[in-house]
Amino acid sequence: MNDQPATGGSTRSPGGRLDSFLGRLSGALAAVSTALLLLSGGLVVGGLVIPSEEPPPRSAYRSLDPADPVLLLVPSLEIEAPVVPIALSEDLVLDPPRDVVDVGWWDASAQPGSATGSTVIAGHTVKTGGGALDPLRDVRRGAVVDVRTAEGTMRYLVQRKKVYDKDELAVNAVDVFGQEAGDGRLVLVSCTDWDGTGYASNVVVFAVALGEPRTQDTTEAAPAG
Amino acid sequence: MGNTTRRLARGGALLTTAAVLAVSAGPAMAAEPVAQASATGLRLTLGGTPTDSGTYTVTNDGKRETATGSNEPAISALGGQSFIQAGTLSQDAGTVIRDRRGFSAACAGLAGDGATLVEVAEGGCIVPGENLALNAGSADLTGIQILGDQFPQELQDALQPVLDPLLGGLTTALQTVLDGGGIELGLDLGAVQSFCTAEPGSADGGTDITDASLFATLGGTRIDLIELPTNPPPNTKVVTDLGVVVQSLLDALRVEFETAIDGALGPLTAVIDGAEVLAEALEQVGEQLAPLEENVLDITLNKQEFPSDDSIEVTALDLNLLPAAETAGFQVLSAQIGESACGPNTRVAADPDPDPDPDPNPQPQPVPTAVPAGVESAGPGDDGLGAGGNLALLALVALSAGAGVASYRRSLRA
Repeated sequence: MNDQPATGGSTRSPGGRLDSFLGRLSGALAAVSTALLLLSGGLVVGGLVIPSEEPPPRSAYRSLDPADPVLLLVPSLEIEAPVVPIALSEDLVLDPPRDVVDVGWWDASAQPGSATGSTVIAGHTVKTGGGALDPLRDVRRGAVVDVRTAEGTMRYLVQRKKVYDKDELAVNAVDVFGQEAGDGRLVLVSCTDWDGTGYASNVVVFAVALGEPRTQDTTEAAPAG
Repeated sequence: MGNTTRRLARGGALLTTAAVLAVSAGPAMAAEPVAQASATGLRLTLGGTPTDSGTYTVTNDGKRETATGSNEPAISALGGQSFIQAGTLSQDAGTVIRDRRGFSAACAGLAGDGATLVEVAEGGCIVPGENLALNAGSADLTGIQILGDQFPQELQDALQPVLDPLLGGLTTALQTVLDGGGIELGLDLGAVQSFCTAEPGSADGGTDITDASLFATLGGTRIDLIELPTNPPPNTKVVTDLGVVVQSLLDALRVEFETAIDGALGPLTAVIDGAEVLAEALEQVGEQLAPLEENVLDITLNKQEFPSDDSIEVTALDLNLLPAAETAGFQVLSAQIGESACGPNTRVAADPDPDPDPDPNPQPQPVPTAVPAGVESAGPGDDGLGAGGNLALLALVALSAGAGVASYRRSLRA
């Protein structure tokens, strides 16, 4: 019996078969990759060149006739507060409703649905809880805010949130509350920064008007367009 | 074929309806003028045929004046008529807006050659030149005759031997007197003109007459009838007859008849009273001229009419030959010289300022400078029910009360 390994003939060692298998597998994968690449490229090009036969998506919102607000809803913060009109005092103080679960609509500001100005709604934050706008400071960009009126529901999308101390708010009052500018946006105001004796600042949330949703789903914002 | 006919009929009906609507809506859609005036120099109706110098009309809508007609009328344009052959005809009108109020003026008239026309704004529009003669008509008297069978029977019997030569002589004498062609009636004037003005709420007008008189011509001889006043009060009536003309005619006939009668009655002067024949002949002529002794001419000077409190129509001279003149042989004549009309005028409606000047110092709207929207805790009365909660609580209380009352009543029944 000869235990010398054969040096000629057609037989291959186990290591050679593995290499061959790996080589074939690699080739097949390369072919599949190429095919997928071509397919995806074709789909991209086709999507760009070949026009879709489907009509363009209809706007998810429609305009709403201006009317006084009656209910404020911020689903992401579980805010649901009746809205009552409030007036500006002679010393330019806007006091929210005495009942802390209500919010107040500044009656000289724009009605929801207006194409100009800003709709200003203010509500209390209560240190011990129970205020209509307690969680306002936690609102996130993109959150939905709905304001109901006798004409329907006006939907807004939160764009930014800013905290002003009392002096800053007075200085920026026109920018925040002025009706000469604005395109029907919503301005929500409450208090923040409890300093042990009182609230030192105001939290102001600015939301852009989208319109009245064609569907009444309030859990998330429908695409604006 | 039937469908085509129906379509045509429907189309025609639609067009007709549209046309009717457009015509009926037109006047309502036309804007009322703020100021308006018109003038007609001469209006004439002769022998039943009317003619005039045209009317010049101006209107102002508050922004611009619009004129229609001509303010340069020509007498030649009046066509075949015998009333006027020369002279200067005038008709003019104008408007102006002052302090948003509409003012208008007009004048119209007639003058002799050489008259000067002036702007309507100065009131009258004619400065007289030479006098102008207007022919108001003529009466043909050739039909007047003296008939032998109209004499009394006794006189006819007495005149029988010379009746024919006597009638021939009287007729010749009559023709001698009427040789001028009868009676001509004329108006001699320097100028006749009316004028008017109007403004919102009022209108006024008047008439100027310069050197104007009525006359008649008999056999080439002018007989003055009446002088017209220079500034006649409104609606001055001038009514005249031609009795003086008739008397002049009879006076002339008397002379001629005496000669003719003397000649014809020569052989019978011993038995025939020539004076009786003369009187009878003149009476026969006088009877035929009798209509001329009635009122033959009706003239109204400075005729003023007020269609409304704020508008006026003035006619400087309104002349009409009366039926008696027609009976006497005159051709029917109606003439209105110088017709001016002004108003009604209004104020320019205040247009809403399309682009009002922005307030140079607009008062900024007060805005909140403080929002005290935080409290440590909800106090008494701030119990957190809210407006809706309070309403719901109220309803609940009312419901409970109703339920209590119902239970109490049930217990009473039990």
